[in-house]
Amino acid sequence: MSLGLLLPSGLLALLALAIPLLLHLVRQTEQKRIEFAALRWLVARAQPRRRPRFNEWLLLALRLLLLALVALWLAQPVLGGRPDLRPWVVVDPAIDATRMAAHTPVHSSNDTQWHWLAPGFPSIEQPAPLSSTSIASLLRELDATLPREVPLTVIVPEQLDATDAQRPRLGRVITWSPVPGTSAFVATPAPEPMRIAAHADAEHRQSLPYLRAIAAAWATQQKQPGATHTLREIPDLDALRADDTHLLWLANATIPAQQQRWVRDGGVILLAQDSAAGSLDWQDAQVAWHSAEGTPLAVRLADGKGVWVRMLVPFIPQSLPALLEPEFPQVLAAALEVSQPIATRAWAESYAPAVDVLAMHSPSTPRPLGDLLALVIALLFAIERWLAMSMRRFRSA
Amino acid sequence: MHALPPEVLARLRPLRLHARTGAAGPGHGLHASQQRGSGLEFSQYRSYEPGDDLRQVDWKLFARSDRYFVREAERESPLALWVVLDATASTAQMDQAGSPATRLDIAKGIAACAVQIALQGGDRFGLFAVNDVQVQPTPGGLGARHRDRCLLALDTMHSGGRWPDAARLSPAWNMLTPRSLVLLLSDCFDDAVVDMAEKLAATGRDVCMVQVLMADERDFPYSGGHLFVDPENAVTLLGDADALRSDYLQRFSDARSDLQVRCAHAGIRLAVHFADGPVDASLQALFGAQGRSG
Repeated sequence: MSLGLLLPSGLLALLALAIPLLLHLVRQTEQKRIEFAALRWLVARAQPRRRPRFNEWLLLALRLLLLALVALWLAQPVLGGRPDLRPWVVVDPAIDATRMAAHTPVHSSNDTQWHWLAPGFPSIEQPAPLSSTSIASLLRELDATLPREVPLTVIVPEQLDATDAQRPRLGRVITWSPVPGTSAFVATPAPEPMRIAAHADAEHRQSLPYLRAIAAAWATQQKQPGATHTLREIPDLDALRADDTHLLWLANATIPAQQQRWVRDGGVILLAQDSAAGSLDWQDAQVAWHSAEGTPLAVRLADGKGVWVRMLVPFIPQSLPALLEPEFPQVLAAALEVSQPIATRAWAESYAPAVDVLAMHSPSTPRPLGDLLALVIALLFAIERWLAMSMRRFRSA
Repeated sequence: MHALPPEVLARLRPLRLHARTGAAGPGHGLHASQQRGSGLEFSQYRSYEPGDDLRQVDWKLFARSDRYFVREAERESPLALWVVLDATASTAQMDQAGSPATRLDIAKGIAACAVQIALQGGDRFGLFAVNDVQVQPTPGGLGARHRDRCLLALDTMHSGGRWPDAARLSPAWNMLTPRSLVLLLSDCFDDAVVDMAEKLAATGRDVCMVQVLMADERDFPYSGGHLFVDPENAVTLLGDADALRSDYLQRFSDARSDLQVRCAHAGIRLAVHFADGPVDASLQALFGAQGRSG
């Protein structure tokens, strides 16, 4: 238990202690005139020791104490307590109580702190939270907030979801206890089926048969579970429906503003090589589609919530040999898909955290005393005011 | 004009003035006199000494005993009370705490009580206020009406100035006839007052002195820095009251015992009245049961 000051220069306010001392000095000018008839028997003493005298001792002491406490409050005292070194056990919420009991860590004792591995680390007595935060971030947070000497045990199911690409690196050695079970898997949303509206004008009518072939290929796959994509031809931009997710624009006409807004709201547009690029700066475009040899076939540019994808080669078999492959519909779907689910499942043994010697530990946060001190100051101020008022009344009475 | 409160009147009722030396005024009153004469109350037989008046020899006793005896008789005669109030500037002093009565107010209260006692005894009484502005007498008289006149005169008295010198006091001397009872109400700080009292006592007046003191003079309750001012002269003293207290108390009590010794030597009856005591305390001491024995 050690008292510390976060702002020691706040103690400069102790200089204000001189003010009540000066105010309470008995002043020489305070000579009350008294008519005294028996003056001949009153003999003046040779002016004695001129020690400074104070009147109203109690009020002076109270005021000095008050100012000292205010100076201390300005210096922001904190109480650095003994760090809590009780061992911690965190349990993944996917594990239920029965399994927990069976896999109690070996060195648990009566003062072991049991918590859920969830944001905020609630106590084990509370019902299991639903968590989909990644385990690595929670472990790093726990590692940083707990004092270094606290033994930590983590109980996780054998199959983990929501993992990072590499093992978490913590600043301490922890006990990693996988128990049989699976994590509460994050349900990745099923990829939405694409509804592609395609348009090819007169110059690009060579691409049209291939587009129709792709549409037919997808139509046949509709009997399989999982929605499939659809492609339909539209004569012009006005036929673009709101639920169309993609637009294949193999034409030369510029895209009007309404369709640009459609793109920004989350549409994906695929432009032919020679179609007008619109008002976008294609300098920062990323390559969206590589050929088998590695040459870039299309670049993409994000715009709002949507994506502009522009072909770098014409949509004809001479420049796009993949057009003749039987897997081309999947290739096209993959190229057009905006987001791709990341693989996050892993085995718990392979995800055991490693020790990072350079990891920082925050020291145990000391408890700030500012509020308590402010309360004491307010109380003392009330007492001082009451005392001062009653003394005024007494003196004037 | 303030009448005395009823409880004070009740306490004063059993009191009567008495002179230590015999009174000798003409007329009838309650007091012992030294007048001899027939038709009066028998006092004693005394053997004849050359020079006694032959008319006082009791011949019947001579016939019985063949020796010469002088018959002495007592005659009751009235007493004249003169109350002399010190109205100098020192009597304007008030106590710090307690009632806001000055020393002169207290002396007026004592004077009113004395006048009441005189009235009860059927004695003549008169008042004096003395300071160097004026020496103001209220001539002697008897009865309740005169008492009211005296109370009115008391109301008009004010403090100021110093004790007058002997020349200004001489009219008063003539009014303070010998064989009258003089009640002097003063703080007795000034030597001139005590000198006059001694002179009065030496010339046949029966002098009672009441020293009126304030509670502050007895206790010296001040603390802190004060500027003490003597109201009769321009002397001031700046000092810290706590440092001056013990010395002052010692010297003041020495001065009071000196005064008591002086009064005892001069045959003056002295009573000390403190401002925080009851108004009739000193008169009880002088004329009450314990005073009578003294």
